Amino acid sequence: MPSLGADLDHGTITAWHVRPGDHVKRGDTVADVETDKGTIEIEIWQDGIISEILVEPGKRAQVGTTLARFESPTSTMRPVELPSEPMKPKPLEITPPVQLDPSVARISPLARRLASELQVDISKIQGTGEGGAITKIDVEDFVKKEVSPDQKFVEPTGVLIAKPEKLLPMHQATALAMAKSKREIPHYYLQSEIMMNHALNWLTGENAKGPITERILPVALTLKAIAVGAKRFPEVNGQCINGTFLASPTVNLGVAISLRGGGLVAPAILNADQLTVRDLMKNVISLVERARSGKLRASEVSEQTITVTNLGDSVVDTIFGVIHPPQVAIVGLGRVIDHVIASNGMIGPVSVQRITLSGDHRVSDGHRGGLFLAEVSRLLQTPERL
Amino acid sequence: MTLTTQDTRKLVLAALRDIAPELASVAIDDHAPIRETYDLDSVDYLRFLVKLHERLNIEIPESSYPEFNSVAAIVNKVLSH
Repeated sequence: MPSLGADLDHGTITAWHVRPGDHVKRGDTVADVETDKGTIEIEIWQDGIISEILVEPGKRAQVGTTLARFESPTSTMRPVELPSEPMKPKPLEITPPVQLDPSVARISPLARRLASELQVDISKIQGTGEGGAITKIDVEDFVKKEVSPDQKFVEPTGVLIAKPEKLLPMHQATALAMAKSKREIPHYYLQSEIMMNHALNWLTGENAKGPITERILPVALTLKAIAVGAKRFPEVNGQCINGTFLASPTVNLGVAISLRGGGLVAPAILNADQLTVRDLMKNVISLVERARSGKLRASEVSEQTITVTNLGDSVVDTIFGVIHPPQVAIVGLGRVIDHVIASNGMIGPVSVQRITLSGDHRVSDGHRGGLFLAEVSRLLQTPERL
Repeated sequence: MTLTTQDTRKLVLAALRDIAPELASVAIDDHAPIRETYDLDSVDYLRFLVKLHERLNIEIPESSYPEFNSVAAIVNKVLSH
């Protein structure tokens, strides 16, 4: 079971698309997995022949569990928990969270952290994971049983959360991730205005040349500029794993997508800086469609290196995002506003978009963050080169 | 093949409901501003227009978007093509 995202430690197989004896190619979808955040497709990482299915549909499995065996001509081992790309570690001095006595019970790291935060005695919890291990769900179920129906569920820091059973699993997952982000990541916030006249005028011209099926939205230009900028500023692009920041050699740009009827996912466009604006646009549309129909891939929900949250279609001028752990930065986009500015003694109309950076102050600071935003802004002044 | 107003309206609503499945059993207000009332962001709106283009065989230049701002307006535009 591959990584399904920072706060998910298990999933339930809902369907296998292969049987023993089937030939598979790298990238083929082999199974569907149901998680609190929707259905994820599992892809196989190399060519081979399936020899045995070990986990049947309907069964829940922890991240890291072997789901099936397959034979491959080159027979290379691929550990499932680690990121697929080699990352350059940048060691960071961060005090690790308080560890509970590991001899007390078998418990997943995620569940242990949650139990510690909620001040739950894990020796009282019945584990339902492999070998009786305690999972995150076991901790949550235990807490729900302990709280009487009249009590609100109060988090140790004094933050009130609605009764857990009232929140949908997806909302719970988001709520827990956002609470963790604000608890653990020291955020700093920057805001800047980007002059969008050149970009918007250029785009109008380009779109007029072709059919509606090739149309590019302004957000695609901005996403490309952010991806290219992130490539040049590694301290905003990567993941914090076990207290160590690993800058990523690729830019996997998370795009926050609201699900109709509520809920939020932010799957990645992989290698976003390498795509043409046209292909980036196609990827955005594909992500929106697949996020809403529950067909996202495991790599898209676990390998994001930086995220963009876009409220450009709303009335909101400025949004400061909350960093999605284990990432270290999130860019916010507001709506495009028409202003009049004074420049060089003249007055003229401009279209501006407020762009923000929320950064992890353990990894970057306002100076570097500001340079990153300046680079994004600069790239958008020559849209034809994006 | 020329479509009746009713048929055109049905196709427009079908395209809208493809983009916004939660509207499947909701009565649509033909004169309401479609983007704001049915929460269509720019990606949703573009996907919706592409479906109209493909199913109703109409051209929709960006400059004409304001004329495609309600179901009734869209039906009129399609019929007067």
